[in-house]
Amino acid sequence: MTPMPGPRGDSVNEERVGLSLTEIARRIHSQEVSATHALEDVLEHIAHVDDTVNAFITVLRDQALQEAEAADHMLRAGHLLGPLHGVPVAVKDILTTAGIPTTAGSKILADWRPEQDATVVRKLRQAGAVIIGKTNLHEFAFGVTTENPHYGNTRNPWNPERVPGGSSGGSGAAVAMGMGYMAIGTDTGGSIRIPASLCGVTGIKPTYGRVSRNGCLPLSWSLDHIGPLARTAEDCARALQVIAGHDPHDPTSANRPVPDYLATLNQPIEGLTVAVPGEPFWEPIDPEVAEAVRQGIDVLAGLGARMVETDFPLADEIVAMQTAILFAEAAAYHHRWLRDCPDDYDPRVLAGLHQGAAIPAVDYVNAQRLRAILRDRMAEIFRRVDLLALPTTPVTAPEIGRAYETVQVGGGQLQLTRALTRNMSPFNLLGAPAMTVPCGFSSDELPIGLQIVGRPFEEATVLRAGHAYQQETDWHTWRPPADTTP
Amino acid sequence: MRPVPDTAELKAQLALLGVHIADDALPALQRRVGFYQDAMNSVDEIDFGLTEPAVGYDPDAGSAGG
Repeated sequence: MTPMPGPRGDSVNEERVGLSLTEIARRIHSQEVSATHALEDVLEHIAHVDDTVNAFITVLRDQALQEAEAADHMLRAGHLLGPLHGVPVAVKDILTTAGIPTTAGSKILADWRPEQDATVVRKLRQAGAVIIGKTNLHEFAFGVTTENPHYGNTRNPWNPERVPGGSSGGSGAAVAMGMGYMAIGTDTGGSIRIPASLCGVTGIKPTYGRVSRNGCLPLSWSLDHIGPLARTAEDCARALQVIAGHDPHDPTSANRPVPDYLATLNQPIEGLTVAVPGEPFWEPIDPEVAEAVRQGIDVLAGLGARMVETDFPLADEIVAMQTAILFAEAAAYHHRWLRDCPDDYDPRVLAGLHQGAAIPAVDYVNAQRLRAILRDRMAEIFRRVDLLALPTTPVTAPEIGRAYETVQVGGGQLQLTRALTRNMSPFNLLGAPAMTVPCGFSSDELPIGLQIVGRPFEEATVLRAGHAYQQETDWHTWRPPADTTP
Repeated sequence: MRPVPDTAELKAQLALLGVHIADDALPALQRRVGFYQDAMNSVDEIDFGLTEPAVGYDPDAGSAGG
């Protein structure tokens, strides 16, 4: 394999659909390319490849073309709405869009057309973005494979026999395949970082409360986050700048100023202290993943970061905490449907909701108490270190239909879906910002991700480290083949 | 050590919420609950202290925990 400028295809401007958000925005704003032409490239590419990849539940072809034409008209008149003016982006189909179906990947909400845009969607539109469609997901975001019996499985662009990860699998696959320059995802136990890693793109889960969740269907109120998946850390910085900020319509929204992420993006990371947490994140692990991530960590060291090792507090209790909180909150949200129309759920999602309904209230409360202790102990560690660096997932993308199997991984046994969330959920519990950047490929040509975690509300440092890494490496420029035939 | 409930207990527990579960789904639920109960054993041994502050929520703390 060699780095490629973009997905190979016969019928589209293949160079253009493979550009970063940063570059297509520059070309549109300088009127080197019109927003309409940029959109037509993407729509044509979707028509060319999405029958197989199935990244979208809804493509808003006509509406998006109208928006792009309006964007061009404004540009010709000298008006720039914002940093995403004319840029085609996608939104996970769990955020509401006024008058447009919002299914949450479910049969239950197949016909729902909300009256209002989610705050994130509204902010994207205010920044000038053209919404090209709603991306596929694991039903109600309750799963990590995007195997969806209602709208079809999303396939991994690197190997269509593999899952793209989830729950934001459509968003990860869309960005990887050149079907949009950025896509919004949600992350309750890794659902931005897992598909970003498995599809070979960049994704950031910001701090809890940094991005409003108004208009987003909850999976677990105290663990849900919204963030961007894109090609580069710089693209993520531009997108996060647009969607971050306090929202009085979301009571969990943090009322803290949003820094200028781009202003510090190019600052060197020399002198930052980066801790590599130990065994719980590395054992068991696919040896090829471990090697690629270690090489990625070496790149950070080569850029002048001071590397240290650290223990991770309460590592043995993470799974229990995450399960008690996530599953109980999910069952509470779904209680009426669980009672009234259980047969409308994917059986695996239904099984998870049944489990959540069986969790004692005492467990839920004690998990939240323990979470406070975890947060305090991590705050101690973050007084000494600026960032953590670790594998995003300990395995590459599992085969479709086999992700629930237990397999031999490195020196141990792992149930693959549990493996995918293992290195994720600590940072949902903590609410800390966590990003994944592509850091290599396995011998069977599947992407591997390096996870970079920062202190709460210090997304700028995380983005800066990811950007510095991507100035030294080219993994983020690799693109999947356009032949997606399974 | 926490026990793993039998399938009848699980069915009755869900029925308290008005939730019906098909009999053929019960063995899988029991396996899931067994895994969960095992994971919770170590949480049960945590000493939270006698005078910990109340569980609360501060949206500016960066986490909904505690």
